[in-house]
Amino acid sequence: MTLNPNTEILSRYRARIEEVEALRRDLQLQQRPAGPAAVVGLLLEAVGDLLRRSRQVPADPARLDAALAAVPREGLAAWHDGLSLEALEARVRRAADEAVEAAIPEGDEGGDTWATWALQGLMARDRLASCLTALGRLKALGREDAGAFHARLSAATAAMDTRLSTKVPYFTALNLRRRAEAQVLDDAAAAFWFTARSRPEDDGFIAALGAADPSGLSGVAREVSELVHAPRSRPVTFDELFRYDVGLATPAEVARIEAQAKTDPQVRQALLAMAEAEDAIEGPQQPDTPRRAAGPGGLDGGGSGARSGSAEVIEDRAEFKVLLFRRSANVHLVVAPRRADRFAAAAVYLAEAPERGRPYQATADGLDFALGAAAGLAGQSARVVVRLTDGREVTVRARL
Amino acid sequence: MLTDDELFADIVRRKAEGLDFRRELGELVERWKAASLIVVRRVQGSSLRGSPDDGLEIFQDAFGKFLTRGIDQFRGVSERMPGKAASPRTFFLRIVKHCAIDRYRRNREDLESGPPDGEEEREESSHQVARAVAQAAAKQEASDAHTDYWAAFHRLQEEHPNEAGAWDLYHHQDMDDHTEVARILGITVVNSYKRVSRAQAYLKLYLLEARREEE
Repeated sequence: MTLNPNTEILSRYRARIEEVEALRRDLQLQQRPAGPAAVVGLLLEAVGDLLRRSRQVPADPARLDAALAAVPREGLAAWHDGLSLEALEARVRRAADEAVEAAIPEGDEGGDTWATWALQGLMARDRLASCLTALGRLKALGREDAGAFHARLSAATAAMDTRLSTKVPYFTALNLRRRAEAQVLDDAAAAFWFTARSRPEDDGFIAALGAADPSGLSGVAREVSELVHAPRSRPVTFDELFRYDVGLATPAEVARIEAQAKTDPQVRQALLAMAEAEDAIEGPQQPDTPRRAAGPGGLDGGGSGARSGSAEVIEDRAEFKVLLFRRSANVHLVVAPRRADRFAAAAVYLAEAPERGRPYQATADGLDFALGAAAGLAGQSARVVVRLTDGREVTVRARL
Repeated sequence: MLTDDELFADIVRRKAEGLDFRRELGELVERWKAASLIVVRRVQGSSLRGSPDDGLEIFQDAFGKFLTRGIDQFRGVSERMPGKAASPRTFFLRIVKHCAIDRYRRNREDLESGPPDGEEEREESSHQVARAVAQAAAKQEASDAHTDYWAAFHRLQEEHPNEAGAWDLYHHQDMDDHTEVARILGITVVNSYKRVSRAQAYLKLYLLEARREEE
């Protein structure tokens, strides 16, 4: 049998009547080794819940007053001193994010779970309101200590609520449950965590914010939506370029930087400066980088695509260079690491044997792959695969 | 005298023990000052920007970054790529390199947003002045909105990095393609769609909160 949501809520609060009696007996017996603070807190919540729902959940006022009269002075003080509004505010803020997850869950089944968690945050705020109501009643019964705590807590709660008021739009994702809770309250308007922006027309607000089409929004919400969806690209940051340089960039960061370098001259210039200044870092006094020596025809063979009597630069990257040396007797491809900490391995394949890597020699200039006589390679291309230390593979094609 | 590696090991030990290590770190990077200035000059040459006076400022900037997070970052690189990580000196010089690159990128942006060359002052009619004032106000408003957006995005990166990563690829990189975003991030297409959707919602909520706080 599925209970009507209101029936389930009313049953929950009716159970508080018995709970108040049990807690009163507990306080009167004074048998808790850890002190009565926790029981005092539970009693204030239970009594306050009933006082705030007296129309729908009537309870004998005399029994509620008798329960409050059992609250010991030191127990009340200990409860007050142990109360953390910071923790409660953090809980409600977390509930706001949980509400967004409820409205736009990862999987279809997850929404209800997130909504339950989020509502628990709002219920925590509601229980504080019940405590304040119970404190106010205790003050009216002549307890001056309760009056002092009530005044201090009310002021601190008001300040917290002002900060939390910006979170109201988040809570619209829970409106169905919020309205159900609000219906049971005597003074629902005071409970903004249940009632602010809780009309049915607010129910789809989070889903509307999550959509690209702003037609479901109006006013300031529409303005911010247009701001968010305005075309823009984010400049690559110092940290991203640095991580890219030292091999710690995520795949998304690498994709972003390399894509932006194709269209943004600033990023392209930054990558060029990175490569050029690296030579200044890896000077001859640096023992952890490969020593540069004149290779066959010299390795500094001009800019990309330059054809000289020595080397044609096929690829020039921050991590490595690929150079092609053409002689009639033998064609060489040299993969020259520029960054020992980024370069892991390289292989070269010809079209005639695409699965068999070409043999190579490790030289002072890098990995030297002999490809064979020039006559036999006319019209062919070689595939150079370089693996970097971050696991990425870069493929370069060289026309022979 | 301790070698660079010995001094750096001492600095790492002092840091781990919660001792002050700034003096030792200062002594270490001072040894690398000359090399740092060479690196800065190389970046200046590549960027066609900068003056000789910039070198020391950039060196100090790099020292600050090395002090606050460089040591932990260096250890992270060493742990992730054992045997392949650079020396502390090389790592520091890379920080210097990037400080210089960043400085001249930012300078380029500032120059590009300035007024066009050769603009002369001339007498304006009151109508033209009013229009110029309105245009300036509109430009300022657009600039403020731009700033607000990036502040919201940085908050998203801190509080919901998964959503920020998906949004960054989808919107800032103009990918507009959940299949490609999913492939790069190693998630399903449905996940990509949901993350982008939540990112959109959070960004708008943050902006609404900011506007509410300004009221």
